[in-house]
Amino acid sequence: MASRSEVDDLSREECERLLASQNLGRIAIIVDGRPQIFPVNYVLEDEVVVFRTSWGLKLERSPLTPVAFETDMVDTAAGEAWSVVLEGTAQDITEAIDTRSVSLRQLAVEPAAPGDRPYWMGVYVREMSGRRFRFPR
Amino acid sequence: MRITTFIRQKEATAAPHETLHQVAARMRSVGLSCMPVVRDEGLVALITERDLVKAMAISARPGEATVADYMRTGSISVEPFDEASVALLRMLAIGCLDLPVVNERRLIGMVSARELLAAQAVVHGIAV
Repeated sequence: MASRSEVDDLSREECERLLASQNLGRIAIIVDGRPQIFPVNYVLEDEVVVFRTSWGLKLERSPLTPVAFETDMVDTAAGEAWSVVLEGTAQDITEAIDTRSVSLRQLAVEPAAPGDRPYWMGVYVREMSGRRFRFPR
Repeated sequence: MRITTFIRQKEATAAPHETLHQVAARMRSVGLSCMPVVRDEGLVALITERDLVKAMAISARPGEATVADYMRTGSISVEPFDEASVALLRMLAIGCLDLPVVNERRLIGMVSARELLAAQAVVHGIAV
């Protein structure tokens, strides 16, 4: 197990780089006062996490509310792991006509799960942090 | 085509002193893309969904930040006898799908891009 001194806090720039390197993360939202978490495929674009969804809790409950988002990676061969966590505000950009939303809807966001996901969501990042540590292979 | 017949009664408004979170919750509940900011029944500004999201991302204290800190002014409304095209172009410029309607600066209602576009489609014989 890594000691505390072996855990590195990541810079904002490094967090953004790592976040942009992945396409699967987890979004946490509050539903009726209780936290719920959902895996989503995403693209990071200029501090906005963009994902697509079907009709359901993410679309109904998250717009204009604070949400959390996490992604991570464990490289067992290299003996290294990292995670990035962010907090932000979600927006349903499916029909939004501001230029930023229109641009975000052009991104190649490809959900891996089967089923139609016609709704577009953006999470506007407020704070971001990350940690990396090494472990014995 | 003038907007007169498409004006909906005002559903919800914001006050300059309200917090971003208060207004975000109300905007969610009424399903508007923007909220007229009103003082003494007069329209003083507009705050859009995008303005709110952006403000909550950059504000040092989003729980305390007020609408007055992030609301927008300028060409943010139309009058009852304006053409629908004027309202639609104004919404496009602002980036929202609803727009306040005023009579001598007093807020009297809102118009929706969806309703105006649907009516325009009928006028021009376009199936939607």
